[in-house]
Amino acid sequence: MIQVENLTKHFGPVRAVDGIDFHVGEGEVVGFLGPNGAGKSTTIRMLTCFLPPTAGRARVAGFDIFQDSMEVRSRVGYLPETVPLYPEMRVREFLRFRAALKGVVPRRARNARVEEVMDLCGVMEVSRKLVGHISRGYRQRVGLAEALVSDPPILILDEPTSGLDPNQRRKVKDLVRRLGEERTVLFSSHILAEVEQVCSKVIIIHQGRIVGEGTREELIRRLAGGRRLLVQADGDRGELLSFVAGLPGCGQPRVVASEGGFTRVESPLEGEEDPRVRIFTWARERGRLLKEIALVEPTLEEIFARLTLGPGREDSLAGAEEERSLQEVEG
Amino acid sequence: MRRVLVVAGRELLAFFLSPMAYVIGFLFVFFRGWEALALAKNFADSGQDLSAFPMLYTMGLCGQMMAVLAPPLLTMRLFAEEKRTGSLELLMTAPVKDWEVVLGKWLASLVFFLVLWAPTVVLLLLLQAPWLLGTPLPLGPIVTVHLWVLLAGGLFLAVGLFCSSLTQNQLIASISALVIINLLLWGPFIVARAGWIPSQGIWKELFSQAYMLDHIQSAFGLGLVDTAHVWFYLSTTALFLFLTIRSVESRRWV
Repeated sequence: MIQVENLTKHFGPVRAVDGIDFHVGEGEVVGFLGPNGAGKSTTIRMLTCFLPPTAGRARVAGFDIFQDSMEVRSRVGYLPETVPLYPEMRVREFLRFRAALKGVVPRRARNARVEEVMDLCGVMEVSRKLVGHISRGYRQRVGLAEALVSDPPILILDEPTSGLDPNQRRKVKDLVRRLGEERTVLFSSHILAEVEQVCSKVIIIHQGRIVGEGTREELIRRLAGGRRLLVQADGDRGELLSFVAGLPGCGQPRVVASEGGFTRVESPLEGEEDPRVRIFTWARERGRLLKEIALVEPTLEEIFARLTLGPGREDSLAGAEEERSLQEVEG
Repeated sequence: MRRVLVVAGRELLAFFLSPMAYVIGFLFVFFRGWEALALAKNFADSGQDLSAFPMLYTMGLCGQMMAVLAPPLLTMRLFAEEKRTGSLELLMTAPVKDWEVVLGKWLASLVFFLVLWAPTVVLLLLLQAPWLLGTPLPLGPIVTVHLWVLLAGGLFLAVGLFCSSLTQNQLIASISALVIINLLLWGPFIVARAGWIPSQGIWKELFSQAYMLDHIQSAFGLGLVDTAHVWFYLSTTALFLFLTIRSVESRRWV
């Protein structure tokens, strides 16, 4: 549904978007991930025909964004980053105006459609309020309702959850997930947990270039350098280490903690190996107490940090993980 | 065309929702009413022929203010504010063409401008009653003078819209529009006063075409309509609307 080839945008000497290629298939929900200033919004503005590309091409729903701009625009529902709505209009009034502008005719069908999207996005209770008087969360959802009002097959959402409180964020996320069931969605964010929860595929952009693309699992397999095994047991440390080292798929283990007679050992784990049962059997046979056996999947955060901070800068990962745990509490 | 009307409808609604419109409207009706009374008294005292009444009335201080000052104030918001708040992005990513947006906004401002003038037209029609001024006012000049208001208003609004499309700042938009409008209106007058009127050729033609104050004195104010004048307003309006479209479009220039 969205095909981007060598898309480039320069603002004077600044290369905001530098020759990116990607593809979004029909019905996919794709997360467009990148730190602030990576070129997400610029790319999105080109895809929605607001800015022209300096070079390269993009096709949305089979139409060129430059040559068939009207065709593209009528098939895309767009939620800009700051959700700029007219503050002097009432919510229902605004949505009816946008529906008319987007060619939802006749009037009766249009009004029915507006009620439908207001219901879907949960803004019915503010339908009579002025857009300027409703909270940010409602504004975001009115923006979503606006994007949906002409029932477009493609949704492009630029940071739909930014500036929302945890409850509002969850509502928007649920809504996007639901919308993704029957539409193609391109969803930009700098919050990883969100993208992990909502999107089937991830595109990571950094300094105007695409640094990673694929499903979450693909990215993790390809880029994160595999899973890790964590074992915590009591008794002799040397025996534990040599046992773990001897397990199929395990690399060189190292002791990460030892406390109260228990030793915690970590080892990289290759392929699809799952040695957990083997570890349990071993411990039972030797009469050792086990406190923990865990397979740790690498997270998108690690990949994101590696891709956007560069190798050797992963100490900033702690920050990312902190944000993630915060997100999880919120989400 | 349907989308032009949709855009115009929203803008018109926005005009009526803003307190500014009511303030301008109230002041205008108030001072215009007062001006009408003063002028009528003047005519009654001097016993002059009433045929010049519509022209003098429309070109009175308040009428001038209205024709010159209102268009920049009405149009300054139209693009500048949308640019500043970012709602232009939402507007221009809807399936609507640049010219449809420009024409819609201009049309809305023109309709609102005419609404502001409507009460004084009614006032002039009321003054037709013979017991008010002694004799009825000549109807012809009333019609043509307001035709001038319509034509010049359309032009000035197009100028204002163009200035608004150039900037995010409403103050800059309104002041630059005010400067251009005053140049258009008074420029030829000053040239004439200074005695620099070109004596022949195309410049003479152009000058007489663009001499708006003379249009009123020699035609519109007397109940006459010169199609050459009408063409001047229509074509200049079209020029400024075209410039506005190009200016809105310029974000898509690579």
